[in-house]
Amino acid sequence: MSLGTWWRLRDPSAIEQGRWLGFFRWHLSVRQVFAKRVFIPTPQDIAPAVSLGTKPSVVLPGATVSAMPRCLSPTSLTAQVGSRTDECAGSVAVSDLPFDEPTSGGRRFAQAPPACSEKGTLAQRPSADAGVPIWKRLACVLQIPPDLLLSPQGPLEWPAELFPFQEDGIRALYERDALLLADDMGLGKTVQAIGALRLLVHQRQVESALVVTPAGLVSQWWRELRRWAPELRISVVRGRADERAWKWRAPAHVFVTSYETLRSDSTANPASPPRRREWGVVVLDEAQKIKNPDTEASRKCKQLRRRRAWALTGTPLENSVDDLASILEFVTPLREGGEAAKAQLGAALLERHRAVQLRRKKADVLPQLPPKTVNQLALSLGAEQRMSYDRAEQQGVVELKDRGETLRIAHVLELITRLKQICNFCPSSGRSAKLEDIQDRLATLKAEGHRTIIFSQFTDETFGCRAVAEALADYHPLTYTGDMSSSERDHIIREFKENQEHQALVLSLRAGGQGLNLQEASYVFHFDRWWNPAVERQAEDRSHRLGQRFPVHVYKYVCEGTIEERIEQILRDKQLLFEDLVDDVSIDIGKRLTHEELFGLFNLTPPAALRSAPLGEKGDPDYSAMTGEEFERYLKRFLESKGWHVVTTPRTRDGGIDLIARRDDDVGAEITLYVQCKNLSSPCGVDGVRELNGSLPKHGPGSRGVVACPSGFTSDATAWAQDRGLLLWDRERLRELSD
Amino acid sequence: MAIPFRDTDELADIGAAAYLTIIPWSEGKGFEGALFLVNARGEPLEFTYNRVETPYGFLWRKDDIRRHAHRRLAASILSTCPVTPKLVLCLADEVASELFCEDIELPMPVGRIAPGGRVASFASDSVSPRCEVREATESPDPVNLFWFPAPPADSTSERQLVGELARRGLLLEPFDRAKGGLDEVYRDYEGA
Repeated sequence: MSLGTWWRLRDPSAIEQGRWLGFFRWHLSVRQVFAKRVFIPTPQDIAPAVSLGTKPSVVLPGATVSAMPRCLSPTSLTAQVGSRTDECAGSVAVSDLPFDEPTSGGRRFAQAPPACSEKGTLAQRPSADAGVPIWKRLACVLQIPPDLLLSPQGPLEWPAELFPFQEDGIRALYERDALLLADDMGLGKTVQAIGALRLLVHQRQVESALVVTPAGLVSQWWRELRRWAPELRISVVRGRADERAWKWRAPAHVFVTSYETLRSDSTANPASPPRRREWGVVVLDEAQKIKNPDTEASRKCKQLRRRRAWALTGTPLENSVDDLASILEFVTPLREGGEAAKAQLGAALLERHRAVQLRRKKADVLPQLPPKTVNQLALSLGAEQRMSYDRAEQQGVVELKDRGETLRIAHVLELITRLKQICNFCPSSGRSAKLEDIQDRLATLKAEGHRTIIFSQFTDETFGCRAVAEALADYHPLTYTGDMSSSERDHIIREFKENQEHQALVLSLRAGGQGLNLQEASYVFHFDRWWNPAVERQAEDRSHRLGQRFPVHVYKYVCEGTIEERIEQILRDKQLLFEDLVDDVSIDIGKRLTHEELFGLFNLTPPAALRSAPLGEKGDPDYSAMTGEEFERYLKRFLESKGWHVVTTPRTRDGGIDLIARRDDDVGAEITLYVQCKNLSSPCGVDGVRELNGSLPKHGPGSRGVVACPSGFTSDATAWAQDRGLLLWDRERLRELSD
Repeated sequence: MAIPFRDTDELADIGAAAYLTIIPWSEGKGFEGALFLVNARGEPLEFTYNRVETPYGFLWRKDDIRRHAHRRLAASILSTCPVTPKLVLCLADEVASELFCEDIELPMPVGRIAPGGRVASFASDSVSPRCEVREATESPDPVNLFWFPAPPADSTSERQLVGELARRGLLLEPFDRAKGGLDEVYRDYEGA
C-alpha cells in the first residue's frame, strides 16, 4: 500500500463545533488521520532498504482519536537504527542525517553524512517512483537547495569565492547525470567537480564517488578535496596490492585513484573492487586518457557501473573525432546489467556531443585573467649545428629513398625525431641556438623577478630536459620528468612553488604538461615542438590559469630551414581542426593527416602500398631486412618516439633483457618495460619467452616483461606468457603501437 | 583582553527554528500542514505533518472552517513534534494572527512573516489586547515579522537564531522546502 492510500483509512471521529439551526444542532467537524513515524536512516542504513514507514495505520471504526500528525525526525539515530519498524503515532520525521564523522578541519565545516562502506548498496535517487519509500524521498526533498549551499551565506563554507561560471558548472554537474566538462585549461574543472560532489553528498544523492586521474595528479586531487570539501572522507587508492585492497574497502565518500591502478584492480571479475559497486558518480579527470577505445584503461573505465558519469578535459579532441567518440561512450550512466554504449560517428555523435558538453573559454568567462601571448621565435642554427643538421637530414633522406617500396611510416618518424633532437642540441659540439636564446631571456627575466617553465618532449642528458637544466645551472633549475617517483615529483613542484631561488622548472611535456598548477611562472618556453597543438596548449595553461597575476608569455622555437618549420604547418592545420570540432561542433574529417603530408616533409612520395591510405595502416618496417642489433636499435628509437626513456643494456650482461623502457604517462603511472628483442625468421617458441622470464627483476605493479618478435609466437609461447603476465609484441601488435 | 571569536559549531547549539506551513488542500477539501525544523545553518532536523478534511460548508462561514481547521491541525502537529524549537515562524499569508494570539498559546516566540512590500494584516494593539509586535529586517531580503507575544530579546539564543537565519537568507526559503515535503508525501494520494 502506498503512503497516501492509508489516508483513506481515516479517523471517523469528529472534532465538534456546533451551531443551532432551528431545532437542530449542526456540528462543524474536521476529520483527521492517524499519523506515523518514519525514520530516515544514514546512507549505510538505507542500504538494506526495508521500507520503514509505509505500513498503514489501521484505525478501527468508532475509535476516538486525537489529532495525530506525522513527524520525521533524526533525533537519535542509534536508537532508531535499533528499531527498524519505528512507527509511532502521528509523526513522520524527516531526517537530519546525523553528521557524526569529523574529518579534516575539525568541525569547522558542515559535516557530511557518514560515508558509505563497500558493503552498503546505494540508496535509490529520490523520484516519484512508487517503489521509493517516502522517507528516502523526503530525505532529499527537505535538504538545502544547491543554490543556497553554493552561496557564501549558506551552511557550507567554501574556502574561496567561486566565480559565477564555476557555480554554473557546479549546477550543471549537479543536475546532469552525464556531462563532458570541457572548459579551457585553468578554469577550475577540478574545483567544479569537487563542488558538485560536495553538494550531491550533502543532498544524500550520492554516497560514493570514484575519481580516476593521471597518477601525477592524485595528490593534487587529494589536496583539492581536502580544501574544497573538507568534511568528505577520501580514500586514495594506490600503493601495494594489499594496501589497495584495503583502501577500496575503506568507508569513504570519494575514492581517488589513477588510471593505472584502475587498470590493475579492475579485472574481468565483476566482483573486483572497482566493479563491485555501483558508483554514485565516476569522474574521469584528463579524460583524453581514454581517447583510444581499444586501450585497457579505456575499456575498464567504461565498464564501471555508474549513476553519473562526468568527464573532465580541456582537450576532448586531440587528434581525431574518434577521440571524442570514445570519451562520449563513457559519458553515459551505466546501471547494473546495462551495456556500455557505443558511440557512432556522424550526426548522432554530434548530437550527443552537443547534449553533454559544457565548454567555456577563458576569454569569455575570465576577461580579468591576464592575457596569454604566444610568440613564435624563428631561430637560425649556428654554423656547427646547421652542419650537423644538414648532414643528418641529407643522409636520412638518402636512406629513406634507398628503401624504395619498403619505406614505412616508422622510418620517417624516426628521422623526424633525430632531426628534432639536433635542432635542440648539436650532437658534436653541444651548442644550441634555442638554449642561447633562453639564456639571454632568463637573465632579463631573473632581474625582473619572473620565473619560467620550459617544456621539452625529450628527457635525456643529450637533447632533452636534463641537458637544458644542466646548461641553465645558474638559475637553479628543477627538473620534472616521468621517470621520477610520484613523491619526487610532488617534492619538485612544492620546492618550485616555495623556493624563489629556482628561477626555472624544466619539465617533460608528457609528464608535466597536464594537471599541474604552476601559476608561479609567467613565462613558458617550448624547447621543441609536439605533434599535437592541444597538448602544447595544455602545457601552457599550467601557468595561464586561475590565480595567475601576470600576463603569460609563451615562446615556441622553430629553427629556420629545418623539419620544425615544416612541422609547424601541420600543427597549424590541426589547430584548425580542434577549434572547428570542439568549439563550433562541426566535423571535417578531411583535415586528418595523410601519408602524403608526412612523406611530403622530405619531398618524398609514399610507397604505392601506403598512398592515399590513412596514417598508420600497413606501415610496417621491413623487419626481415634487419639484423638483431638493428631491430633492437629500431625498437629503441620507436619507443623513444612514443615518449619512453629507453636504456640499452650491456650486450654481455643483459641476461636476456635488451632494453629497459620507462615512462609514466599515457595511462598516468610509472611503467617499466623489460624488453627482449627477437627478430627471428620463424615464430618465437616457449624457450625464447622463458629466457626473458628468468632474467626479469622482481617487478612491481608498473613493471612488465615484453618479448618483441615480428614473426610472431607459437601458441605454446603465447599461453606460457599469458600465465606469467608477459607481453608479446608481434608484427600486428607493433603496428598497433605505432598507430 | 582575549580576541573575540566565534566557533561556527556553536551554531548547532543555538537551537532549532520551526517553520509552520498550512495550505489548502485541493478545492476546499481541507488543509494540510507541516512543521519543519531546521538548525541555524538551515539543515533539516524534523518534519511533522498532517492533513485535515473539512466538511462541505454551506452552513459555515469559510473563515470559521479555516480557523477551526487551522487550530486543530496546528494542535495536532505541535503535539507530535518531538523537539521543542526556539521559535516558530509562519507565513502571514497562510496563518492568521488569531491562531497564535488567541487559539493556541506557545511558550516560545511566534513570528509571522510577510515579504517586504506585501500587504499583511496583523493584530495591532488598536484592535486586540493580544497584539503582535512588528519588526522589519533588511538582510538579505526585506521582510516584516509580526511577533507574538514579543520579539526575542537581544542577546538571547532566540535572537541569535533569527539573526543567523536572516543572514543566510533562510527566513523564507524553508517554507518552500516544507511545501515540497508536503507535496511529496501526499502526491501518491492525489495521483491515486
